[in-house]
Amino acid sequence: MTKDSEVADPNVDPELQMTADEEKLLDELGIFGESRRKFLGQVAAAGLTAVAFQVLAEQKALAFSEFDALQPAGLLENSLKVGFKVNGAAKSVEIDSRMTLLDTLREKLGLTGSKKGCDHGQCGACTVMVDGQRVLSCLTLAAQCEGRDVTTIEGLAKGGELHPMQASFVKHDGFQCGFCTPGQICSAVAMMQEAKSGELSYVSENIRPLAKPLALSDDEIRERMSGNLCRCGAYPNIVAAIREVHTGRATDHMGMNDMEGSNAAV
Amino acid sequence: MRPFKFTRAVQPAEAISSVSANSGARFVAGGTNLVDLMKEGVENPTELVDISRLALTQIRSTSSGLSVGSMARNTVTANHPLVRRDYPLLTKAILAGGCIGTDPQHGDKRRESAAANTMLVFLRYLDAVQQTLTRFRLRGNGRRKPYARNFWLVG
Repeated sequence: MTKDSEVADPNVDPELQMTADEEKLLDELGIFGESRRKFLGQVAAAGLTAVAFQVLAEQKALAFSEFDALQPAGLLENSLKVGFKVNGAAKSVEIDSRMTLLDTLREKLGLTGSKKGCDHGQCGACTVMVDGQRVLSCLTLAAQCEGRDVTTIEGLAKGGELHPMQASFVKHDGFQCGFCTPGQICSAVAMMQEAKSGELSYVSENIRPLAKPLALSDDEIRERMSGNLCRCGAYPNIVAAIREVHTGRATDHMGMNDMEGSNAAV
Repeated sequence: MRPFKFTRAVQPAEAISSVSANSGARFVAGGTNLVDLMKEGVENPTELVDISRLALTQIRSTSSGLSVGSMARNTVTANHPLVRRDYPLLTKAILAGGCIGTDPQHGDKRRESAAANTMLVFLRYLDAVQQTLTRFRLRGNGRRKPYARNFWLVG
């Protein structure tokens, strides 16, 4: 390694100074002195521009729903016009027959609260309510929703007030990353209704008596919510949140103030 | 998913004639199995005939047993008072129905399935019989701990 003290600039940190062979290399490349600084500046600017372009591209991608909604009809293969109610408002969309309800909500109507997890009906992240029943929007063709009443997570809060289930999830920390949460909450809201009307689950103790409303034990809640996966593992808190709404009594994640866990149905 | 033509049938006869006129046509009811298979390219229909609105949902007892309309949804069948009273094992079988990593209770796959999926229901029925017998054998008194086959998925 050549010592290059003769070219050292006293104003620059010696650690950052180039060795003579590095200078020589840059000379050979025709990059030195002022032009080198300019070159470095250009590189930096180019880098920033690339970043800026990426940011713009992402913004454009996020704004896609609006662009797409304005696209003229007739560009789609097997296009269909479907009208249904979403969160109380009548909507009409022009879609490809292949479009699922989930894609229609997210990409045509800009309702990105419902999440695409597995896209195969296994994770429950896309759960919405159609005519009050929970369905997996990733496996529901939008074309089949003609005239239906769809409720998504965006439609639960009323007049700036969270839905009791949403408030309970917040209170009990029923999530970590939050990706599964819209599906969990929609599922839980519909599930409350199922319990109210006396619908059974696989762990229901008694099949014959037509009791309603049903008082759900924690095991019942877990079974009825088992189509909604949470990879963060917030299950104890999710169950606590649902239990509190279900019983109307404050509880904690240990179920302490509740009906003593799973044997409540005895 | 391959492109397909979507039509909605209003009358059973109309649905049958549309599907028999096109060898690539399939009925779609809840769609949760078919759409899944179409996404994977296992099923590639060129036309889907929506039969989900056909009025074939009645459940009634007959002289020889029970008649379940082919469009009766699984949860409706499982929770029907008649089925619960006279055929509790059928209720149990349907509720046990989440087969491939999914759950029967979830508002979905099996909930939306139509009873036309008779073979599956029948298999689940056998499964439930077997589970019930096993439970009796193991526990003696038929009383069981709440149990769901899919709990392994959610821990």
